[in-house]
Amino acid sequence: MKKGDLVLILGLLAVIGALFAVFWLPKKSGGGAAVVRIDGETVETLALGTDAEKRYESADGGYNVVTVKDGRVSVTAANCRDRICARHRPVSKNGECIVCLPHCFTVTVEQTAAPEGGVDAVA
Amino acid sequence: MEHKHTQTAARDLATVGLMIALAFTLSWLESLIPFSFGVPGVKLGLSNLVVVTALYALPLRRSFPVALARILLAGLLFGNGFSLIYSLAGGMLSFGVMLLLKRGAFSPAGVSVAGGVSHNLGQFAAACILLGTNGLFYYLPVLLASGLVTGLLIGGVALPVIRRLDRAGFTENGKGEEKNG
Repeated sequence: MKKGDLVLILGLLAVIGALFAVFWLPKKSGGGAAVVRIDGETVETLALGTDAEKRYESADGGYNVVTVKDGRVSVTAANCRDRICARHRPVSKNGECIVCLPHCFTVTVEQTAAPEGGVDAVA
Repeated sequence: MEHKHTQTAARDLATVGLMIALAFTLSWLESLIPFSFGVPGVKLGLSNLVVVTALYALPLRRSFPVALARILLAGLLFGNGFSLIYSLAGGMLSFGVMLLLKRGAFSPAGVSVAGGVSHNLGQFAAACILLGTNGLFYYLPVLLASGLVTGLLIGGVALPVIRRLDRAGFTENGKGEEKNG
């Protein structure tokens, strides 16, 4: 180990700490809605106040099942290779996100302009 | 002794082939380990050990093919089209950063840490472009932290490997480089 290594590692730790502070600390407030995106396109916005279970098809026969329950959203089933999305804990706070890389699929909790329960996208 | 230091084309070719095979084997080994952190993109990156070593032991025109071939081979066999894009983005950025830092005041451990972090950074950038959502920033600190830890582990193993290759007169500059570790 050289001196440069320590400087580099300490610098990176500072950056990582700052990023945690910026992206993780202010997420205390509950989110308004779960925004479902496939290939970067917003497919549907689900209000967290209403329980729902919906299946989303992506290219090549892929699917992800999104469940909203008790104000929290999770991916409860998927046919992707790694199933990282399906193992992710349920999220409910603003900015939290579940990603399925193989399907280019994301669910992000966002504070949408529409008031809670006012989003009528839930089937 | 002198002819041992001569880098012939045949020897170079054999070394590159050997290193690609080694990286490929490590990728395969890693694909067998059911290691999942629950965050996409977080993994051990065992085959990066070979890339770090190649960076020190071989000239650029030999180490770059090792870095590229390991990504293409592992991407095609253990991944799918999209994971190949992520691996390429991460692997190429990581290789470039390590190449630059190698000339600076860093030991292989520091270079490996920078490589691990920049690998995840490259993957993150690719994911941001492909997925088109800013929600991913939630994962960024986790990805960088995992790159730091795995880079440190890989660097810790690469350090003695490079030192031994140096001592054996195997590296680019023979015994001149990294003589005090």
